[in-house]
Amino acid sequence: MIRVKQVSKRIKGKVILENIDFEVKDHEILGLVGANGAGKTTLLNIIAGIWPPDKGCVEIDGVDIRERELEAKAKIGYIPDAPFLYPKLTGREFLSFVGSLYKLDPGRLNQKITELEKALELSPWIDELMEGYPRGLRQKMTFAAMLLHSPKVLLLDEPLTNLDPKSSKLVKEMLQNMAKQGACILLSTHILEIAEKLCQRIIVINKGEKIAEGSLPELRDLAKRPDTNLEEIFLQLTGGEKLAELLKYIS
Amino acid sequence: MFTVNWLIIQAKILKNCYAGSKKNFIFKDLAHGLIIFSGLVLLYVFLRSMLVFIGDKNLPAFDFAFILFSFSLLVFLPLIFYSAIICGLSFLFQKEEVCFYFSLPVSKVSVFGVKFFQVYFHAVWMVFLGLLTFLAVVQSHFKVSWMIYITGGISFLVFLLIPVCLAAMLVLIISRFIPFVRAKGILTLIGLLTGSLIVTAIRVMQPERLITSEGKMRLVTFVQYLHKPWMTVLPSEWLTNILFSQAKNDYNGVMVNFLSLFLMAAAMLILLYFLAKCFYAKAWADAAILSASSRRMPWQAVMAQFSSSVRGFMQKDLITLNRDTVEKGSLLILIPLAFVYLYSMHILDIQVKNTNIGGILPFMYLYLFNFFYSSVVISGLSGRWVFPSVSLEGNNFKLIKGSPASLNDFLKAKFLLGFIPLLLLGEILILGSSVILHLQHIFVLVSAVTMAFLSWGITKICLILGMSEADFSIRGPLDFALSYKGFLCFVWEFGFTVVVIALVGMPCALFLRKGGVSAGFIFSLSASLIMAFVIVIALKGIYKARLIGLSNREV
Repeated sequence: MIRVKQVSKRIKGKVILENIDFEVKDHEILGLVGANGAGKTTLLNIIAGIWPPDKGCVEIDGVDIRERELEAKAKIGYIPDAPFLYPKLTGREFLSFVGSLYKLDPGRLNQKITELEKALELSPWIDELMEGYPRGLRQKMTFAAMLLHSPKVLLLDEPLTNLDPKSSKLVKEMLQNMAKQGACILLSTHILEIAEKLCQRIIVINKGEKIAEGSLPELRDLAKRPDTNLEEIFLQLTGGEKLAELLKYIS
Repeated sequence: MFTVNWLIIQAKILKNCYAGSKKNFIFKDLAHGLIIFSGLVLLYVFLRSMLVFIGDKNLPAFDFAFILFSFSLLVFLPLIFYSAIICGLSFLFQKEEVCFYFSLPVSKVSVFGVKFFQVYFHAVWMVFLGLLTFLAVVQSHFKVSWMIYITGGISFLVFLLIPVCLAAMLVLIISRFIPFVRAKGILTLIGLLTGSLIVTAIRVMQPERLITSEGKMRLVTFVQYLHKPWMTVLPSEWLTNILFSQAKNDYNGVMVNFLSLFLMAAAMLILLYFLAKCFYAKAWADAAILSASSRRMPWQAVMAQFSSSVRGFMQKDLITLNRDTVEKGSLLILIPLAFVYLYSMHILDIQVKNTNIGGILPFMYLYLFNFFYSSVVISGLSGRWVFPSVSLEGNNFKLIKGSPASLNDFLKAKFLLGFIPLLLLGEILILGSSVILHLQHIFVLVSAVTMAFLSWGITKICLILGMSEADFSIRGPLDFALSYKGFLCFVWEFGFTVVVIALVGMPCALFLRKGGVSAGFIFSLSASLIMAFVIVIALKGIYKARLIGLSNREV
């Protein structure tokens, strides 16, 4: 479970996040949607323990990430929007390195690497230097690194970017299976169709504030727009009239 | 645990770098290693010759070595401190890598530890090699036991920790108040300027005089009369005492001074640990979130003469250069460079005149050497700025290829941005040295025209090779310029320079020998002009061919 309590973040007086408060339960995929610069990546970085919040706290399975940082991080698997991969390491060497940091024993680690190699179709590339990997493969490698230690909490920032349709479907199915098996997943995305299809609940963030939270039917009730899709709801909640004006100007 | 795993990974990266491209490794790393080794050998030879010289004069060589070492270390302390600040600002605040480490179940202080290790290594490795060279001189000259390499080596490593720790502490404190990008830009600029002034000052002091006996004697006298600092709390004093106590087999002296050095380094490390624990994560987070501000450019009026696409490309490059404080600061080195060049020509002129060689040889030597020397400068700068310019577009090249602007306009912009400044610099160097050499007007004119041709040709060669060898995955200009491809570029530039010098030298020599215009001179001049024309046509032809190649290139 992820519990975010009244998290706020300011940089040089500018509000990045203001009183963000929500929970992600086990067996759940929660979608985080918002415009560019809304604060989604900042929020994920705070939950992952990379950036400290100015106010509030984050708990991972009841463990405060600031007080027991290493214990909390051992439960998390995080995919950032700009993943870091050593260009002069092979995929296998990189996964071994990450596995050693999560204190996986070598036998179990090698088995896990083999499983992920098959599951994510890394085979032709896994022993090549990562500097030559295409973008989609880099994303899959980051996925593999995140799943090595079988985390119970997953944080994903635009996880399906750069993936081909087959890999994208594969990853979506993996996430759904993991949620069924008890993981709690927080997923940030621009692609509202993904949030609509994959996530049980959705949080809408705008200019650092949480403006809506709930399942799709609940959001429809909130927006008073029954029988409409998430895109229409999102635009209404985040100032859709400006978009209408822009479209009018362009046409 | 994380630190050990990280070190293992760094070893694997090194192994993979070698396995990936042996040619690149042999050229770039081994060749650079040989250059550094040659420098160390020269240092060894110089120091050893000084000690032998002092011994021949029946002066106390041991005292000379002691004082020289002590003061050298004292001078090195602030230099290492400054270098470590720059390295600290570079390594401690790397965005993606540190973000990756912070996302893992690894303590942030451990992450700081590995980054500090990188700072330490990059800041001190060259100084460490220099100190080892001095150690080798002391060991071989005074016939000291080989143990000095072990005590000395360990003491050097501990000594070098002190300024690096101080620098890291300062970086952590500075980054709480000043954005690290701005601090890094300002400090790097100050470092470049100071380094340039130091190089200029060294050149003005004419260090080549130290080769003579008189020069050596003056250095010995200077060092002997240096007032030794009698503060015993200086780490440089402790290190000097360790080495020279070892040389005198005074092991009590070794232990006491080593303990002092070790305790100071340990205290620094402990203080740094606590500072890192309090400050590092927040300082890094603030640096990671910071965005750069934009500034307006003043030169739009000058650009109006070019076509819109050429103008667009040039404006883009100039704006990028203007906003990169480090790159922009590098241009300031050109000022002391020009000064050192002109001063060197002045000294060379005096030296040649003092040789009393008759005929046209001294004049021709100076005249042609001037072209060669200025070409080396232009070649170096062109290799640094023009050669990597196409590759530095990176993935943006796809945007350029896909746009309606022609590749020719893109390359024209690159050429103009390289050629115009290099031409200006080249003319300043050649005309300034022409004044120093008191050349006749005709020779000044020939110099100016030749320099323009050299600048054009060198820039063209760099652009052509930069196009044909483009590597859009490079991260920085030096990666490309200092590679095997960069070396090839320099070879071509050298070849071009030699050809041009021959084309200029023949007619000039004939003109001087015959005392004026003669049949031989006219023939030689005509041949040179035809050859120059052929070179221009050839370069244009090769450029066109490479342009087709570049337009078909996949990014």
